[in-house]
Amino acid sequence: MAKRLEYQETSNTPHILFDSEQNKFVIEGKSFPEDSKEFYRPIIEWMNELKFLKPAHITLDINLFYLSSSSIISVKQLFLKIIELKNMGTKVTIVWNYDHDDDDIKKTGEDYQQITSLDFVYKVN
Amino acid sequence: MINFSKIGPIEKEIFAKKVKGIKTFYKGSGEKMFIVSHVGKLDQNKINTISTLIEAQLDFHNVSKRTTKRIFNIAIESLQNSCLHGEKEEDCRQLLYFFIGKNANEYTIFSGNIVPNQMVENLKEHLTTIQKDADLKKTYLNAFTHGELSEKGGAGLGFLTMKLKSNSFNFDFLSLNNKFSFFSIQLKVIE
Repeated sequence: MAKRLEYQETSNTPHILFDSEQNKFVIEGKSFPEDSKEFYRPIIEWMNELKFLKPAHITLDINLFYLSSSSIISVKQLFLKIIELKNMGTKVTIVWNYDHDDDDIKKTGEDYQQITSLDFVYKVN
Repeated sequence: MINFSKIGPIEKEIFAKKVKGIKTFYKGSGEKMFIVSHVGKLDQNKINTISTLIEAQLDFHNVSKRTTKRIFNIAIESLQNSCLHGEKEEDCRQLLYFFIGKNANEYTIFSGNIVPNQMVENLKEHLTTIQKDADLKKTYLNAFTHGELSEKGGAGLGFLTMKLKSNSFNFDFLSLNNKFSFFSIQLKVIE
């Protein structure tokens, strides 16, 4: 697998940086692609392959201004792959960043935490 | 002969009346105005342009970040729904509108597009259920937990999200002919 996956931010898709060598995993920006399934497919596949490297720990830093409803489901699929990593022994932390006056994005993080039982750390931008 | 076109003269007249009705309300002096207006064909590039305009307009009117994000959320869901499910003519023309009206501290998002008649009953039932749902957050969490993306890319969360982010949620179906209806939805966000 490629050690690094990066997509630059566009007006409707977030910046994605997954780097297994530097142990850096970042998603930031807005997410409302025309076809969410297509946009997130290679990202989910990349995360699926990460389990073969058996990383000791990963921290996924998420800082999303906006997620469309189809992106919400695609990010959930990504979390399901991360749960597989956790079940194989990787220590996983999700850093969920949000603006101090943005309760809705914080609640979205809490919804993910509730259904995934992953460890979430909330950080105010 | 019955006209089954999506954009025949009768359909155009019904559409024009609908648009005129909305525009008339926002005409005149005072604090009533349109801050975003789009009529016609829609694709993802146009949605991106409209989304930038929405942010700029709300910033210009000093709308709080919380309200901005609620309006943005509803707008994107409406636009993507119309783009994904709104009927198009073969030459890509579309009877479709999207407006955001401002009346003092009330923002109303209006969206309308053509749907096939066979979609109407299911959609009406789905929207009525959402409108009456006393525990919408629970319904949302259930759809969120079990939801998958459909072939068309829909998540089943769109209208639930729109209702959760709005202060009022109204919709309407107007029969155009034996094959098509005009679907419109309007949602209010109060600052």
